[in-house]
Amino acid sequence: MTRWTSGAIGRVLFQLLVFAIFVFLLAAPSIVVYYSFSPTVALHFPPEGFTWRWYLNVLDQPRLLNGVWQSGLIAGLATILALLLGVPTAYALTRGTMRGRRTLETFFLSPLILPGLVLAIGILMFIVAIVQPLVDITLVGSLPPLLAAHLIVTVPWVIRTVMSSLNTTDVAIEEAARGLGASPLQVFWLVTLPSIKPGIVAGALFAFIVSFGNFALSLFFASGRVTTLPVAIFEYVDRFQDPTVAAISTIVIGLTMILVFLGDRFAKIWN
Amino acid sequence: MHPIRSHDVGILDNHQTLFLIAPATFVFLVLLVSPIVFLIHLSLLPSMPNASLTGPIGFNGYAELGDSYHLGILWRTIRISGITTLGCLLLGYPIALSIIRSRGWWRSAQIVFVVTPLFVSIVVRTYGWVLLLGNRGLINGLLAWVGFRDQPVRLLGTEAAVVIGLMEALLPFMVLSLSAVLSRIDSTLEEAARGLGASPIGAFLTVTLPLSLPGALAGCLLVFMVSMGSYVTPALLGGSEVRVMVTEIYTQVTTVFNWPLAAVLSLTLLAVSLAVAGLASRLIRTERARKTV
Repeated sequence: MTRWTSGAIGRVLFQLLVFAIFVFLLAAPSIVVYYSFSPTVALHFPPEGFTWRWYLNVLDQPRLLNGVWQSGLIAGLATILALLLGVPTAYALTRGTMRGRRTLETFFLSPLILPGLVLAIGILMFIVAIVQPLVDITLVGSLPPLLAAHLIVTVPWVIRTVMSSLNTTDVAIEEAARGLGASPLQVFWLVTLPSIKPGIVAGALFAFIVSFGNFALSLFFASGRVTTLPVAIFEYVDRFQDPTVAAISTIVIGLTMILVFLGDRFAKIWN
Repeated sequence: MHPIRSHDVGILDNHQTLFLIAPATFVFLVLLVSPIVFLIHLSLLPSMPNASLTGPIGFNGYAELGDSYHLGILWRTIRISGITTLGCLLLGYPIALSIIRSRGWWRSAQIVFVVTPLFVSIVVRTYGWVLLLGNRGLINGLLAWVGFRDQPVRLLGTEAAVVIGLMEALLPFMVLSLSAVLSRIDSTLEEAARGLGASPIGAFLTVTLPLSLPGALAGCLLVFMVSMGSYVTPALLGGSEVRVMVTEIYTQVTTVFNWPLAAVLSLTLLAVSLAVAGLASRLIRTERARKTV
């Protein structure tokens, strides 16, 4: 066998391997989309028909619809708050020279890898045992604790994305502006902000999507009145077995892809 | 993933820096530090079902951690996370290599394939695995269709199902860590090895693979920590048969109401995670130092 053919066979085998791994990676979301159009509750392959009726059934599920609306509200608020808290922090950590800022960076990014459910339990117990007796209001089951818990993931996402944007922009222009007599605020507003806008858009998008899909941080704070879509889906899957959840999930997958696509159009988020 | 910091400069003085980080620091002290400090306090209270949140300080919660039931759960959690990490490394490496070595639309398509699942809620993706692995799911359906088995194979409620679900959920993290480091390796090095007579596989094994170790370690760390802390996948795919730390903590909080024991288990999970992280970042640093010498 010549060297050329063995190389070609190797390349083909490698491409097949890559293809198989992608099939594995995309199998779960694909099957959800497939199931959402299934006319039968049992999953059949090959398909036995096509129906929209589970999409119509979504409209009869107040808890799921409530989940969509409240997840959107919580993700939106958590994103706005995360931008207000995260952008100044990211700017300070990349443009200041204070000692210990590496440690602070690790501290601010730690919720991205710490177990979310454990952080949520900590917040829950802290609220129940310390905050509630202090303010004499039942907080668990209302919106504020849920929103607070979500901040724990949205703020690090914004800090991380904006920091990497700040690290790749040329700081010489900012120094020049500073040298020419602009105040730090003017430098930020007139020079830095326009050049890191894509990073801020990407950070906001990530924060929103991560908060919208987060489960662990919502589980303990959901109640009869307050819920999020992932929690509502989890509860539904626990009790019923029909493709309604697949239908609403397909809608969410579609909306997410549109959001990511738009984000990529307006701000090159995958660099 | 690892931005270059060639230009840490003093646009801001220390007072301005402190002023800017103060709000986020305050929020993190309230939402991250105080809950963890409170968990430490709680873990020292008497461990019992329906425990009250007062009582003498002691270590009986920690003593309970030492019994074979809880040690078994801890060991299973570490084992599942370890296998998941290894699986992600084996599956993630080819994908990362393929992304780095392709151009144009195929490269963009691969990046989209890898990143998009990250934005689909973990609940939805795990639900997909329930549909695939269930007794009346697609895989058992296919097996019956080809006449392979008349009895469904039990896949849900096994450690294998949990590992499969976690691997699929965490593979994107591994691919992103690996491709970040692979893209910074000078491709002329491998070409030089080829030019000097090395086979493609030999050149890869002796040049690219060792240089990519820091990225592989970083990816492994990330996958290991996130899989140790995941709840949805073991809850839906493992059920009550495959108890891991987080599902056990959840049970203690919501049905047994033994908050002190839940606190002990939570802190144990945090401690193991942090110990692994410390070890891995030390390894990554020595790897990097060795490379630069």
